[in-house]
Amino acid sequence: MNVVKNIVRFLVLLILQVLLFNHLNGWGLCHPYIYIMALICMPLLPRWADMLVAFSLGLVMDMFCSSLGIHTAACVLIAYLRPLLLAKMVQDLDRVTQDVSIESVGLNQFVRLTVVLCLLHHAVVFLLDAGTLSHFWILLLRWMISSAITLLVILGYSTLNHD
Amino acid sequence: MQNLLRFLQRYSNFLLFIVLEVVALLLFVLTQPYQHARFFSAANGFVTSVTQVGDNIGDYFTLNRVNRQLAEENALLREQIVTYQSLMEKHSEADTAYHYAHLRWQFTPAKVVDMQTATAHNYIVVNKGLRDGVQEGQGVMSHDGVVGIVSKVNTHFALVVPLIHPKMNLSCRIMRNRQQGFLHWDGPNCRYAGLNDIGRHVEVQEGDTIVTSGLTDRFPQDVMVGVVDKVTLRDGDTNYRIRVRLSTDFRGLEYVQIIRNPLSDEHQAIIPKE
Repeated sequence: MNVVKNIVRFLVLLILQVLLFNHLNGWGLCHPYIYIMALICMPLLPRWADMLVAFSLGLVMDMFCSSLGIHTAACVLIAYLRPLLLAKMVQDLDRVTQDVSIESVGLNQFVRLTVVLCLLHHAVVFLLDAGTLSHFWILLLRWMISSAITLLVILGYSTLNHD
Repeated sequence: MQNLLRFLQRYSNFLLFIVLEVVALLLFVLTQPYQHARFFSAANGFVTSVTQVGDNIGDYFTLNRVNRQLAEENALLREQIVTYQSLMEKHSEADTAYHYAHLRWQFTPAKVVDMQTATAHNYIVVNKGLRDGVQEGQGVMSHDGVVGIVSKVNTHFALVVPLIHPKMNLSCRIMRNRQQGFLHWDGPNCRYAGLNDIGRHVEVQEGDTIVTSGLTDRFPQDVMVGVVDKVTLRDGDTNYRIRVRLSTDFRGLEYVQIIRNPLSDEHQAIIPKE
């Protein structure tokens, strides 16, 4: 049941990402990648499985964003780091058997985890895409604005779901 | 051996992480120059069909604007027909200049099916390809002005490198005084580009119209490119820094014309090769 739920969630996020969020633009500064919510909230699998799932999700995203390898690299990175970060934040990790959510890991921990992973993911994507630091301030601004919107969507949805 | 196995077991996750990252980065690096990667995925059937669904839905919301534009364009074209008809009546059928002009440019209408306007490497995919006679190097324009140049074609689609791409250099003129320069984009904003190579002796004003120079075989002369938005000249500069507001709004772009020049081969053949 949980597997189905996760797949459906990914598909919904993918459709939202491709049909809506990829077209926001906003003077080239606003490029939120809300689909990473699927990776952040996924239940904790064995770590190798976690990374392989992230690899395939990234590849699918890359197909839609026409950027072979960029999202794949970013997704694998956050899938590798997620259990490490969670282990540092949550004492009894074995208790988290369902999705990673506000209920299962606590509000404070969930917010911290999401912020770190989102910032990292967006940084990797924007740096690889630009391929240069020549427009550093624009890059920085794009990173901050896009991350803020992604976080707003993910945390907003999670909080509503929690209540 | 035992130690090696223990090592592998202990760091298996980290090793898998490294392997997957290397594969991802290899994919990224090997598919550069990016056009190939973009084309590979942007024009492949499944992805295009999904983005097309979104497109089809989006089409309904813009029908109003598109209709208005088409009506305006119709009116303009009708006006031109009237002018040309009167011209034709004036000049005899045997006028070679008329036949030459007729031979010179042909247009293929196409619809934009995929587009990236916000990254450092923008592109446009349109729904006409080899089957419709589209070839690499052909110019692309919309009713607002120049859009870009076809850089890759397959059977049903063509990839257009737009003006708002760092690798584009378009030969342009200032309409008022016929001075020639090159349009180049390196900013993040898809409404503005720079015009280079205009020397300080030239008189340039804000509001001057920039058009194609006609010095290539890709665009007819005097196709609208944009309007001078800001002119700066610092001490010691030999050339102006000119910011041009592009007449094409890439984010609202839906229909374009691909320009075919039947004399292009002859044009290219006569240029001396190094």
